[in-house]
Amino acid sequence: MSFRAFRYSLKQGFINIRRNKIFTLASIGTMVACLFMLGVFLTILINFNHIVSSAESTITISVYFNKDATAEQIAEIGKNIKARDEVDTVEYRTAEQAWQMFSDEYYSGNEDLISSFGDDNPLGDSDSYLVTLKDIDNQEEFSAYLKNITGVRAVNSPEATMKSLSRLNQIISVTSISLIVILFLVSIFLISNTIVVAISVRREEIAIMRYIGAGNSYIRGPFVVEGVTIGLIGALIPIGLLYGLYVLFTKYVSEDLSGMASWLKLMPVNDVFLYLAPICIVLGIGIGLIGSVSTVRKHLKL
Amino acid sequence: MVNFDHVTMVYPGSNKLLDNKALDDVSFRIRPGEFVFVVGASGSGKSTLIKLILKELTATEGTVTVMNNDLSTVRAKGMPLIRRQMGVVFQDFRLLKDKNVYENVAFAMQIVEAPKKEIDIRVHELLSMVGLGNKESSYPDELSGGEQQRVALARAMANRPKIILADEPTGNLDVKNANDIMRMLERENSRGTTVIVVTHNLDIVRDMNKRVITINHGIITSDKGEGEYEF
Repeated sequence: MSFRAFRYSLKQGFINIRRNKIFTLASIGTMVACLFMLGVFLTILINFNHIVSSAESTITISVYFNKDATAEQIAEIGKNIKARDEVDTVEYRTAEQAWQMFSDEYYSGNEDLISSFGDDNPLGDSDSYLVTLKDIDNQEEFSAYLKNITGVRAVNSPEATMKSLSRLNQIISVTSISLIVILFLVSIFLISNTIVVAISVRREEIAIMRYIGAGNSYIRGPFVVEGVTIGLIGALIPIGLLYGLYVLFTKYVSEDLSGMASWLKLMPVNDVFLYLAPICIVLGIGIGLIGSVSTVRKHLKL
Repeated sequence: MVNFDHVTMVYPGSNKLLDNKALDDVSFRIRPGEFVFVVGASGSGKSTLIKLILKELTATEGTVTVMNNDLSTVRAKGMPLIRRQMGVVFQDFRLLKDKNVYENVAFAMQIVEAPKKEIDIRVHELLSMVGLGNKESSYPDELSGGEQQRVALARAMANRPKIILADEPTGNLDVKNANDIMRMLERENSRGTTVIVVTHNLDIVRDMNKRVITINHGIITSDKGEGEYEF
């Protein structure tokens, strides 16, 4: 398309929008509703993934050794674990560190109770490796591997928690993606309808343009501009709305639901919109482009 | 310039065997620079002939050749380039209502991406030629039928076409305006442009004294050269 044809398409596209005000507004309105819903599901999806990965990063597998295991054997076990691809971090914790942490967590403010243990360490012989995995889905298989290593006495892994989180993550992802696909298709249908109306309003004009030899870009271009503009406006409005609502919601969670804030770790607004804004804009423009191009191809045989 | 070779046209949905042919085995040749009238009663197939030349329709059988292009082999994408070498005038003018007189004529040149300066010079020249130099900024709804047809003619001539197709160009005009339009077409023809006029206005055909092709029920019943046509 030449620059002049592009300029003409832009100008005529905006004239079309002004001319079909009612249909354009209806299209933008429904696009806003669709992309707003889509944005809500994406926000939930992004945040749930964030919460799950935060939870995953805190879930560790503890590896305990036989009582008679030598320092060399323990070091060898650590080396083997680190060499595994699925392993993210490996930390060695002595029995003393384990007791210290346990005391800090459960006897804080009751130091006299701790003193009753004297120099005894109830967690003696509990030197361990604390292992985190890159993907919790590999946890079951990895635990089985650990149990077969010579010198390993026990492996503690919160399998049930991990499985539940993984399953919930899958359900939310599949539900959100299905809804997003449905809303995407509905939006394309709506844009397509608006373009069909615009074409029928301008049918005579299009016929005249055809007779005087106007090419594809001159005849179809304005409708594509119209579709893309509706898509873009239909994306920018929900982005603004979602931004405002998200700021309010995060404020509400941190101030009024402080009890939930420890596990409901919402992503900062700018991090969410770093993903959400481009996705919505690309979807909006994409919906406008696909809706208008497919419609003019079907209804404007040149 | 325009060649119909055993052309038959049956509209989709109608039955060839039931004799529903809009055109039936029509053959003729129009040479460059000719002025030809195509006459016939309503429904005789005159407009079908124009639509085939513009490739708005594709012949069911036979070959339509325009400016050495066999239209059955021209793809949709290539048709605008051929149409740009043809100027078309209709009975109902078909002007763009949201564009003024100047813009309507200029638009035909804009789509072929002519330079702005050239468009300006040519549009002024054409509008004064058709006697509308003082109505450049008027909109189609503000013009009389005769004036609208002059604008349509100016638009048809804008890109210096090789062929002008006029489908009942005087159908909505009074005698004076009809004569004016025909004189303008004749003047354009004298510059070498091939002119094909479809009409049922036999007074005009008689006055102009040009080649006349007569169609009746989709069949060419006569093809008479200049001075041969009798009423």
